[in-house]
Amino acid sequence: MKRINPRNIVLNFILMMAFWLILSGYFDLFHISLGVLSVGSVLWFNSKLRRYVFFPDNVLVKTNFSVLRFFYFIFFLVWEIITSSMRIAYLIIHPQMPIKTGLIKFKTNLPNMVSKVILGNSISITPGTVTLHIEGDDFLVHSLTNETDEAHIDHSLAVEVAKLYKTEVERVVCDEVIIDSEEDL
Amino acid sequence: MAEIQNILTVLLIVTGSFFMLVGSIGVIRLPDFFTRSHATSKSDTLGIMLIILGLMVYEGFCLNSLKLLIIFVFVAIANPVGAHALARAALSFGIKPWFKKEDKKEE
Repeated sequence: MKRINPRNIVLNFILMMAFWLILSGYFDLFHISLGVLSVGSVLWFNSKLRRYVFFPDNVLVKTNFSVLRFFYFIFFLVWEIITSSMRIAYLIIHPQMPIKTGLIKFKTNLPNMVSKVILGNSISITPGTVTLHIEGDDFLVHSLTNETDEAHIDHSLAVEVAKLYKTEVERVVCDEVIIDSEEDL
Repeated sequence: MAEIQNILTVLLIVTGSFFMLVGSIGVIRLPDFFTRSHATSKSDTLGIMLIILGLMVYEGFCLNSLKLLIIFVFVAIANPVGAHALARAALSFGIKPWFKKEDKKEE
């Protein structure tokens, strides 16, 4: 159990209220008061869930998460999605279909659980790579092309995720292993 | 102004449909479960995003485009999570990934 930060509740209330207003589309007193009522009851129902500790490092981390960097990260990710989508589309349409599947195993030294989730989701949303398994610091990624530039993409993504939390980043990814035959499995 | 809006909408939705089509072709052509999950979830990410973006441009700035934006964000978050869950379940079920055979003969 952990203590609830009042700032989080206010932020949550504002977000859910905005969601209600966008979905309902009525801005008179009756509908807004209905919205306040339901948002309040949702917050009350979830109050126990908010105090629950999901990860051991959930409490200890003093996050210096930079929002500005996050917007840059989103643009970076969208660019990454567009370029690799086109590459995958080319691979699929090509008559010989020159794919070379492989599993890539690597270790990261990201600071906390949330950053690992962000990295895993970013790898999955980029076409051509899916995160198969995350255990501790180890990632297992399935990739359509196991060329060097694909590994490079994972590197730059990991570096960008690490930059969300730290200003100075050393090596993020290490111990990279590429498995591309059944014997190595 | 309205014509520029229409042209942009058509362009976005046509490219979006193109990526969805590529995803569907990929499901038929690719060899095994993992590669097919690439085709279904990944090409669709850009396809759905472009189509929703096109609809947003068509609507202009109003409440409906905000609703479309919410769908956009939900798709962007839920798509990789679903793909990851499926692929991980397949791996722990014991499905072996497919690897290309020709390379070994050459070596």
